[in-house]
Amino acid sequence: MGHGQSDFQDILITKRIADDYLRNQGLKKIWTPKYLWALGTGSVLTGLYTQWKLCTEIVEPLSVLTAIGIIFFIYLVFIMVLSELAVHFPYAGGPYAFARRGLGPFGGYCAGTAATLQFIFGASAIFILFRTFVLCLVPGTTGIVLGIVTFVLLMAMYVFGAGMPARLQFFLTNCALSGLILFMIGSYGFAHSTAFLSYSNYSFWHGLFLALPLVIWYFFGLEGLAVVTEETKNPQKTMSSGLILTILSIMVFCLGLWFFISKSVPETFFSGEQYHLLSVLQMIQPKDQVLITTFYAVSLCAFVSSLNGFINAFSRQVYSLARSGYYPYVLDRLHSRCRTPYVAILVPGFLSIFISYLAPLKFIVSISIMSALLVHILLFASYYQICKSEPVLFRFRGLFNYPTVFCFVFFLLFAVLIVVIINYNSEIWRIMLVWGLACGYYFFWARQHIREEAPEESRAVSGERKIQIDLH
Amino acid sequence: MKDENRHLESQIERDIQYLHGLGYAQELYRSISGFSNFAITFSVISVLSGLMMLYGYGLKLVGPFSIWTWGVVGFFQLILALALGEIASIYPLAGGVYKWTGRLSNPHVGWFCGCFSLVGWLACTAGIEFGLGIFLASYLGFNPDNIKVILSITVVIILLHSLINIFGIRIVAWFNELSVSLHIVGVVVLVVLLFAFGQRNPVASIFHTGGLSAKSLYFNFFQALLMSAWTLTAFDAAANVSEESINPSKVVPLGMIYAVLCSLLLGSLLLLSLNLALPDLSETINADMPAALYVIINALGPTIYRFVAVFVLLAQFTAGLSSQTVLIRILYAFSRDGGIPLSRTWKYVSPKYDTPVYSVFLASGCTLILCSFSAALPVITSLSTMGIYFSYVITLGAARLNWRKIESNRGYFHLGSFSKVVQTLSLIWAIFVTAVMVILPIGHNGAIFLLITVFITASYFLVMRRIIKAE
Repeated sequence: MGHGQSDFQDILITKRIADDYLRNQGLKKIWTPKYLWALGTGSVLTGLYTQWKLCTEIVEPLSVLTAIGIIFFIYLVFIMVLSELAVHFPYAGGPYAFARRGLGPFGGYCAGTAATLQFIFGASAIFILFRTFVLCLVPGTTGIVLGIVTFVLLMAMYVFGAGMPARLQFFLTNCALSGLILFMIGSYGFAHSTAFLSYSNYSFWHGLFLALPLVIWYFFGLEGLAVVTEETKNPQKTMSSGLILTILSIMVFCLGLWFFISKSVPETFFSGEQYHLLSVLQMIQPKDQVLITTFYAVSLCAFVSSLNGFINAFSRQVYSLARSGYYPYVLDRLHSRCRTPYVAILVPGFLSIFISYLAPLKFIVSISIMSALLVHILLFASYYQICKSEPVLFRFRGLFNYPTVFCFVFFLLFAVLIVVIINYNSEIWRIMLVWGLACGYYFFWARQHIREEAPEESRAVSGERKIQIDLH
Repeated sequence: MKDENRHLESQIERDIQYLHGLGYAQELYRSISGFSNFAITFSVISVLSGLMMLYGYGLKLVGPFSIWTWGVVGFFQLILALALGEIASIYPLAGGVYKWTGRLSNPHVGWFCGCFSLVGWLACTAGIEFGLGIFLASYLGFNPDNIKVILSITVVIILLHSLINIFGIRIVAWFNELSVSLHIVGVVVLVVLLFAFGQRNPVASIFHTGGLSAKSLYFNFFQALLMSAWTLTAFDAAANVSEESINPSKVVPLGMIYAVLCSLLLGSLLLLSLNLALPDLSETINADMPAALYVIINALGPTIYRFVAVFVLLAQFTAGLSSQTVLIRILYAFSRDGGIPLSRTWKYVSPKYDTPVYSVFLASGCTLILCSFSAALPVITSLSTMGIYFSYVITLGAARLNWRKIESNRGYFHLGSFSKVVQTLSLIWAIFVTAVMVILPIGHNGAIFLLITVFITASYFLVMRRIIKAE
């Protein structure tokens, strides 16, 4: 079972058949609320450590703060929707599973593929940043080898140790967060002479326009929490507490960093210089070499924790799509002893490494951000659809005062997407090519190989049939 | 998962039955695991905060040689943990030494033991919370001599601890698990940084005694033992949450032993790294801040110092929280047996939070009163060690005299044929430490301890003798 086309082409998939399939192809349950918090927070830390420098114009702090507020709001609503969907669809498919129920097979495939692209290209982007960082300390071939070895070791840990990645992630995330606290302590007391809230002469809206695609990186990677539901013991409790804790932690650190950078060196906001937190600290405290070296070492933890989070995300997403038949069956193989999806870990992992060497950084960044936004749009659309067909399923429906909040969030999402498209317009044709290939693959191969006994499919189908039965 | 839950439920059922067999109903919420049990004890020992504050004491007496006091004390504290662990395995009851002594001997002796334990834990809690108030005030830039500010901060700390303790043992367990991470990460970071950037002295420097003569060395060494004895103590905290632990006969003794072992290891690394980074000895001793912090700020700069101080502050916060938790459980155990005035009030367990809420108020009130005697803080902190060690003396004495009870009622954890030797050694050690602390010329607070003993004895003869029930 699980290798090759569906064994159940011509019979009705019962709950027993679906449960048996999940027993054979299900993943071990390792994620508790604190590990979930570490996974979510750790995944976004690269953004918090590095994403201050990719623009060519100076942006005023208030624009950055507003951009943070907008993106935080989008992600907060996303997290609340995710916690609802995860409870009712507790499968490794994550975005694919959620969108499959609300938008049908093609919608589910698009959401799953968008998430896959986000995580694989996101891992490439993080790997590039990590490699560049390591090369500052260890130049030449040694640095390159160190970077690759780290990535491979992380993948190996995912293959051979079911619980080890969670514990490592917890350790790395705490170290990296300590680094952020160290930064705040280091920059405390270095107040800039200019009133920091209105530093630049550039307009607020212009600054907001520039800041939005970059501020996304402060929360980029949280989508990876959607794919771990199947690996939690009590999704209702674990996912809700883990997700809320994660988003609040990230926001606190985001605001803290914004405050300390604004107060001390506001001109670093997205300026053309190679400023990131380490460089900012070097500017503020150039003589304290112990501080600089310590911060450098701790910064490495941020990259490794983000890589760890993205490896988990793409492996689970690819595995679930393969398990359901959308991706080649070879990707759904589980290790006989460790019960880990080793092929789904290694193939996308090495693909990420190759992409980091072959593709331009701008393309990698743009496709991962746009894919993330697409995941959000599809999940919200699916949630909307499910609310229409099964109105009593979700707890927060009343809280959203749906559809007002939904419309507002959709508007914001599309607005951010348009801003991103304009900022990365040179890469649009490449992104459309990738999606064209993905859609072609679906229509010519994938949709004929869907396995209805897969848990995501059986859950979606049973929901659809129940509605049909109720209607009749 | 269903099998796991079933196993857990049957274990809890067995624990409740065992508690019934000991004569008590299950009133507190039994939820904390072996790791959480270890974490509570580890938090109270708090190597990171204890050694940071007391490193200078040992340094003044025997210089860098004070590191060896850690080894000596660590060995004997391990023996003590083994002895107490064996008893805890037989009698997994809230109240710890109070209940054990009552069972091994009689309730009257148990009451005496419990009083000293109560004094010790009350002083311990007050000492930690007020110490944290002083450190936090200094860290935030306030004048450390401004007693009003320090007391205000201490009040906030006590309130926070009380709120956490009211809302339930699961939240306390969460903080203690955080404390374990804080300690391990904090010590490892500090040790690595000191080794990497701060090393000034060779390893042989740990044998330097600051130029003392051989005669003075022995005398000062015994005094310096107190640095380690003050830090590596109070590990019977695990026993006081026995009624809230799952499978306490196993997890309580193991929690105590592992906590002592982990603290021993981390403390050794910390002391070694501090000694190797030590600048001029007299300059360090005469600095206007704790010696350990002076070493850190010298070796690693002001920013790293402030960063490390965050770990120390958080470690102290969790240590104070654990200490208050233990104090509350002792008060609860006492009042359950009618051992203190207004027992009916203090033993009330909230059905909503499953915690003895009025005991929380009593504990925080008494701690506040003690803290207001701030000028006597060094006396208060030494009282904590005297009270706790003297309670160990009574317990181990009762265990040694009634050894057959231990032999015939062995719990999950027992020492077999080594039991007698270990009990005897630990009794001698507890007597030694208590004597050193109360008898001149080393012990300076014997008079106050005598006063407390007289007060407890008078209370017993005037009030409690008629009230204490046989078990």
